[in-house]
Amino acid sequence: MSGEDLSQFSMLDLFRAELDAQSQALTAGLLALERDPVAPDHLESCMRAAHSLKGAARIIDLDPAVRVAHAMEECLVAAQHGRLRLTHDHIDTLLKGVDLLAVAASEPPAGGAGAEPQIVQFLQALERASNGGAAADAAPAGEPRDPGPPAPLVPPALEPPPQGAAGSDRMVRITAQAMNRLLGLAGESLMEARRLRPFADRLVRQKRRHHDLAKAVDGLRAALGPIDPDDRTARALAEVQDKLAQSEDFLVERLAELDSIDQRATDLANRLYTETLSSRMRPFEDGVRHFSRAVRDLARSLGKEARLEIVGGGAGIDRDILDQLDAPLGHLLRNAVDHGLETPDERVAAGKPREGVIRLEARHHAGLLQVIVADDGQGVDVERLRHAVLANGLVTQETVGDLGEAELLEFLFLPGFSMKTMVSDVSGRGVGLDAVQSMVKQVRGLTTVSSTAGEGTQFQLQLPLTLSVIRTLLVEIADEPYALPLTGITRTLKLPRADIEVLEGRPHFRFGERQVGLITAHEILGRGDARSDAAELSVVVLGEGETAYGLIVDRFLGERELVVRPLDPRLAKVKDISAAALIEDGSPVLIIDVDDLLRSAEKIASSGRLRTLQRASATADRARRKRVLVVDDSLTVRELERKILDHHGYEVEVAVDGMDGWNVVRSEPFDLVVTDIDMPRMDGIELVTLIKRDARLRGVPVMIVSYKDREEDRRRGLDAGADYYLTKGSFHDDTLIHAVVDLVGPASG
Amino acid sequence: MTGAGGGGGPGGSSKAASAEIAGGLLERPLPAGYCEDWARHFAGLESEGAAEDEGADRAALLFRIGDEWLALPTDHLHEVAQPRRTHSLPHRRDELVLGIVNVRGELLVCVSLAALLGISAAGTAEAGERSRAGPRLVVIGRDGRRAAFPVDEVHGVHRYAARDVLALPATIGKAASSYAVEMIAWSGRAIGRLDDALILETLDRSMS
Repeated sequence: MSGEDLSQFSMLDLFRAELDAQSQALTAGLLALERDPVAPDHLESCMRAAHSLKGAARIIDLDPAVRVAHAMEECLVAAQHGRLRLTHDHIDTLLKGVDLLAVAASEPPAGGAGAEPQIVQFLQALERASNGGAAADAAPAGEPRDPGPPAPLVPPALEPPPQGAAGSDRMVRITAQAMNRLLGLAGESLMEARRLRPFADRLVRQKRRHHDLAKAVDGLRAALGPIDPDDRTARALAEVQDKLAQSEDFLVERLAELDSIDQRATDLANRLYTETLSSRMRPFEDGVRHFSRAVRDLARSLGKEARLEIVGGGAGIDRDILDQLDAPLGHLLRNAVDHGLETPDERVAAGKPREGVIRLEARHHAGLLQVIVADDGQGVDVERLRHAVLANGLVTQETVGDLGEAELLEFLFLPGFSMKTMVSDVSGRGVGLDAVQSMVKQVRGLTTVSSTAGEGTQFQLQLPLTLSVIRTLLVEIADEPYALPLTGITRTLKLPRADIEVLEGRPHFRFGERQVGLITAHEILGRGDARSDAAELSVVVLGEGETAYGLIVDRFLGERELVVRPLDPRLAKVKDISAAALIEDGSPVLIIDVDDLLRSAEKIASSGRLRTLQRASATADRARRKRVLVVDDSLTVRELERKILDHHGYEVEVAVDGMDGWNVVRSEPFDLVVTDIDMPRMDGIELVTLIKRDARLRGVPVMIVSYKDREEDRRRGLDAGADYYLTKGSFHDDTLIHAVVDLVGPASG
Repeated sequence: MTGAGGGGGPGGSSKAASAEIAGGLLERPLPAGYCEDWARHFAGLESEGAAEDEGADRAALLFRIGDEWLALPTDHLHEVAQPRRTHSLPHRRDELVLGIVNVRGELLVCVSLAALLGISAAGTAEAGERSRAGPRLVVIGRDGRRAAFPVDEVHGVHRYAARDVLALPATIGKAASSYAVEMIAWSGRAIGRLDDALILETLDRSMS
């Protein structure tokens, strides 16, 4: 009894596996047919998929599924023969049929006979669609005229082998930790296998010595001159020569053996390593294919027409990141359909095709994974947004006029903010974009939005490749290897010492059209002094334009592909370092955070060094001034705050974002931290939280200065532990300086 | 037949026959309860053995840093590895964290137990020269938070009983100052047994 049940189970499981694969093909084909209802190849592939499913369902006696698949096949065959033209209603119904097949194949409560009412509905809907259609159809559904009755039994019986391939595409779940260990072990075995080669080479040297020894014995024999071959010495010598020859032969054979062992072992270890590496990655398309259908269905329900175009579907993406992307992407796509695209009539009036296109693109750019969701709709109405910002009470009447387009668009990410006057069940409740941003922030990514009136809106997610493989340039700094992501490098060059010029006390060199400042990696990383004996310097040019720097390293070690490994979380963020990796000899290597490094370079080059000197003399002759750290990503705001505070006698250090601020606040003592909220890499709230959680820093007062002046923003800041909350509008009077004096007292004393 | 590999002599056929008998004997099915009996035997061994040894039920890894011999309970000990190249971390000026090190393909934080315990580096160099036993890397940790530290020499795991434990003297070795909880008698000397939980906690705290 139970045996019978089990076999029934496994057959049903097989059917479900087939259904999985076939419904993907069906859905893709149907979506294509919606655009071109007579495309013969899509008609053919859909018909075949429906036909296979019918056959498979019949084999396991799943009658409801047989009927659904049969009706779908009939409809498609009719379309193939031109007896019927597929309409949107047909596609709608056929897509529902795909869903219905899954229901029919599910467990009894919903599946099996339980699906009966839905099936009846489906069959009726399909009939309605056909009768309403242009072409007349004599026999829409039902058993009487089956075009290929003998066929169904054969293909499904042959089907399992190809379906087996689909089965081997099946995903298995494995923990990230297990995957990392596997990768670690694969790397280690590769490293061990590579040791065989040098070992074999050393043995070859031994063989040569052996050969020399044999020659020396030959020489000895010659030196002895002619002797009677039966003489004892002659016999002993002959034996030595004989043994030597034997031993040489043996050595040669073993060496050849070792060679082939080495080759096999290295090859195997190499394959193991690359295979393990690539199993971390999944094509982008795998994770987003299902959105095609979702976008189309949603558009239909809103009376719009939309097609999802996936670009860069083959780009390999870390499976963890792909999983995390699902929810935010779903949200952005819903938004694009609902807010972004116009109705077909509006589009036609604007001279665009009826059907809107939403582009979902993935690409690797500048060491980051860039995912773009772009629509060709109306774009964000900046003036309406300005009104909405004002209406929501986010800024005052005076400031709203000063906000630029980019700043205005930032408001879209505020919790609870919505431009839609009418709340639909799709989007417009104002929840979502902030959720998208917080997910992206969680992985230290960045969300940006841009919009062109009449041409569309584009959301860009920049995600780090924390768990991926990156191409790097390996360099040596103070006898240790460091890796620079290739994407962050503008150029590498060997610079003759004679080409170095000194401007304003800092070394520079001519790079193309401009002067580029030189700085040693040792200075930035705090690793002693650079080697000064070489006639040529190894220079890596980082950054572009104004922010370009020439980084002097000790040596270039070459290009390497590295598996990025996160550093032990207990180490917290190590300044100027993003992650670690292993190189082929098993040595650890640190991967440089180029953004961090450029910022550090900028600080050292512009003011940092000079200021430290000034500070040393200043503190010598008078009482210590209170020190304030200003954290803001806007240069204008930063400088304004610095000037105000400096004017009142405070000593001011600046940091360009939360992460930078966190690095600085831990390295030097401060009496006050003034921070913005919205910043890349780490926002102000996170910075405040980190400071207030740190035992040593907890006592340092923190003041938030932000555009956001709503009560909930204020509360959010104060909840995180901020001691004071100030809005950016209050710069022009003395509010800022009063608040600072309130918190930490006057600048000196 | 095939079993008589080196056959060919006059007794070849009888050899084949005995091989067959031997094969039959060795491949016979196990008597009922055989596996269970042995499982019980080995399971019981530990407790019985401990009873005979009068409670030598504690184990600690003995190692040397500089001039000091130290003992660390094996509970949180992961492995003893060959020393590997350590990569230092930039901007770190404390002596505790030496950098990161690769142990079996995993990147671990490498710390200086010498710095934590306050053992002088001068002693380390001197002793390192004297001894040829070779430095090792000891990996400890719990709940996935692991760390490695270099030592100058490892003696191995030492089993000891409660009676081998001596009270901490009023004046103890400078190294064992705050991390040693008791002394163990070992081949004529007293070794400070370190509190591994305390060390792990301190490491977790002082890494960031």
